[in-house]
Amino acid sequence: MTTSKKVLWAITLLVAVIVGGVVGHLWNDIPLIRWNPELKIYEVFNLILVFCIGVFVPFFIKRWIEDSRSVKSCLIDELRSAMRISDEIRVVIDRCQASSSIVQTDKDQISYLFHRSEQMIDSFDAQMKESFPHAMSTTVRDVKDAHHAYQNMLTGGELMTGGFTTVSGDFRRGHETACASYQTKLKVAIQKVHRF
Amino acid sequence: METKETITIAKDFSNRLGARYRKDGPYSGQQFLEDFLLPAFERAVVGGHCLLVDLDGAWGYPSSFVSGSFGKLSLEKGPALVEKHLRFKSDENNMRLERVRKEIANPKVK
Repeated sequence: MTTSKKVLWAITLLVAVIVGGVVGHLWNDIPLIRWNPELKIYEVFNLILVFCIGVFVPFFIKRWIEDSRSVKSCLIDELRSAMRISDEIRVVIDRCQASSSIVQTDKDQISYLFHRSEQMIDSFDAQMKESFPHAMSTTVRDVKDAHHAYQNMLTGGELMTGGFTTVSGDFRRGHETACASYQTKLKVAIQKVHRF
Repeated sequence: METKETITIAKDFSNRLGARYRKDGPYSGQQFLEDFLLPAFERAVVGGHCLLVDLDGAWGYPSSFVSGSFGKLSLEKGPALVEKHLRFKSDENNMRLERVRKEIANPKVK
């Protein structure tokens, strides 16, 4: 239920209680319910107000906290998924270095893994726009820049060429550094989301 | 400006894209630029229409391919003209669109 619907429901309920009280006050023939003439109208409103504060305020605060937690959890899931994909890329590079061979299928797999992580960051971007538009620009830009740098390091150089058939120790170390830097940026973004 | 021509990279060229230069192997950025993109782009400029490039369906877009095709086109023709006559489509990956547009706006000399 959206916030506007919740407010509408609360207002409707309040109006119904007030209208009920007024009708009861004007129409004295309602059986069992009689207006006590010693009771002042502001006391009735005071009672209703206390009831509303006691019931609705904790209810809405609880819902608001739960909604916020659920939204943050979705955002963090996207970033963790992107991190897992970088782990998969690391596994491919490590395996190729261990076997002293990298073939076109491995390169296609790396391209595809980057495609998947881009989709996750796209999803993160869309959710941030919806839930935290005030804070989204720098956080999303940092994540995208980090992804861009990592992708450029791996697919912007010699790896994608036909002549690159073995993964050297130097290349693996270079990749490890780039991957760790990317993952650090993702972890920083996760902490930022926690603080929203 | 009306779009009169479309290149679907995955169907018209390949869904497994290579590196920057022809010498780097098959389906390079240079091959795509010279055999597909540049001729269609020049037809669009002469005809005063837009060329739509559909990016969907490929396994992924290596940075060297993007730089060797769209970046090189932008270096040769200028970002303003390229942005005027090229349109991009990707329903499956918005970040891919951003990367290509960024490369065109700021092509890097390699």
